[in-house]
Amino acid sequence: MKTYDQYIISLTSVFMATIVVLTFFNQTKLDLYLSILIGEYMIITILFTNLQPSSRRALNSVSAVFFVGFLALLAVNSIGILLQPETI
Amino acid sequence: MIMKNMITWQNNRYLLLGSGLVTAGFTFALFAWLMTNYVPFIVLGLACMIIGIVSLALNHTLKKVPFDASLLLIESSFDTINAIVEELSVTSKAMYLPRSVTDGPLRTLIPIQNDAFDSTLPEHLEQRLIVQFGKNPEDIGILLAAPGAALLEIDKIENYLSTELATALSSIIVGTFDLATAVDVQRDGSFIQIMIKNSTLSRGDEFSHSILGSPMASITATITAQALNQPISIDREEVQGKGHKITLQTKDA
Repeated sequence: MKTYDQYIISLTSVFMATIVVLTFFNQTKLDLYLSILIGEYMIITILFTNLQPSSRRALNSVSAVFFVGFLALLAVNSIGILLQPETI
Repeated sequence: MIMKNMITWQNNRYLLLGSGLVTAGFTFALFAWLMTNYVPFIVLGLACMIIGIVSLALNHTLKKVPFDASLLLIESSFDTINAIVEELSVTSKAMYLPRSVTDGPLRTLIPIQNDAFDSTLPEHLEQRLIVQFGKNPEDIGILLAAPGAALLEIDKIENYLSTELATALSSIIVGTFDLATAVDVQRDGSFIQIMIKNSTLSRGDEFSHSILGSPMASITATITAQALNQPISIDREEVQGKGHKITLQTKDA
């Protein structure tokens, strides 16, 4: 099987497993799901060491975009927490 | 017509997969958000989009030469060399040379006499079929295109050769040409042991294999010679289950 097919199948399997497990535990936070999926994407991309340098560059660019998205999620959550009215 | 369709499909499958997943994932996530607002369904759509984007990113890195054509290139180059070495009754082992020695394409030097192989190689060899590689008159060899060298001209292979040997071998053999599932490299002095797992290349028993090594050993030696910038000879090779163990020996130019 081609390395790239294995890579796509690994991503799909891990994503599916994550969604099933988090759904099983009644998680309804979109940012939690997305943060975990982005983290898994980065880990799997690093683990596949046989990829061509050109493929790796392309995937690193995608990682950078996802990382910016992850930071945006983090920023929105942080702002939400900071702007919460004090309930004392 | 069927062959053309097959090649078109092979060259575009990540594009088709990526476009399909991004479109389907976006539509699914949008409907899930508007109609049910059930987060796992929305995430399922977004996960499809992520995989689709990854497939689109991989699309432009597909190799231009189909896998079967790659195998055909390797086997045809072996047939040519087989005919030459059989005609000349050469029995000594070939030496794979880096570009720095040949000043051009990757070549393999087949000494005509067995005992001429220990000679010190000159820094540069002439681009001729019959070359004198040592100081003694009997140090004469045949300089041929390395089997599989044509493959290494494809797809900017030079970029990978500047990396570490294990990475270069793995990127080219596993990542680019899909000729095996894994490559393990161990160095012991002037010997380099390379274990190729699940090789897809045949290990036929042709006469030229005793001189050049099997197709996989030959490709490995060609890459190693260029990556280390040293002449390489195939010391021995053996099959261990699904593994193909190749021992290479480096020689200073």
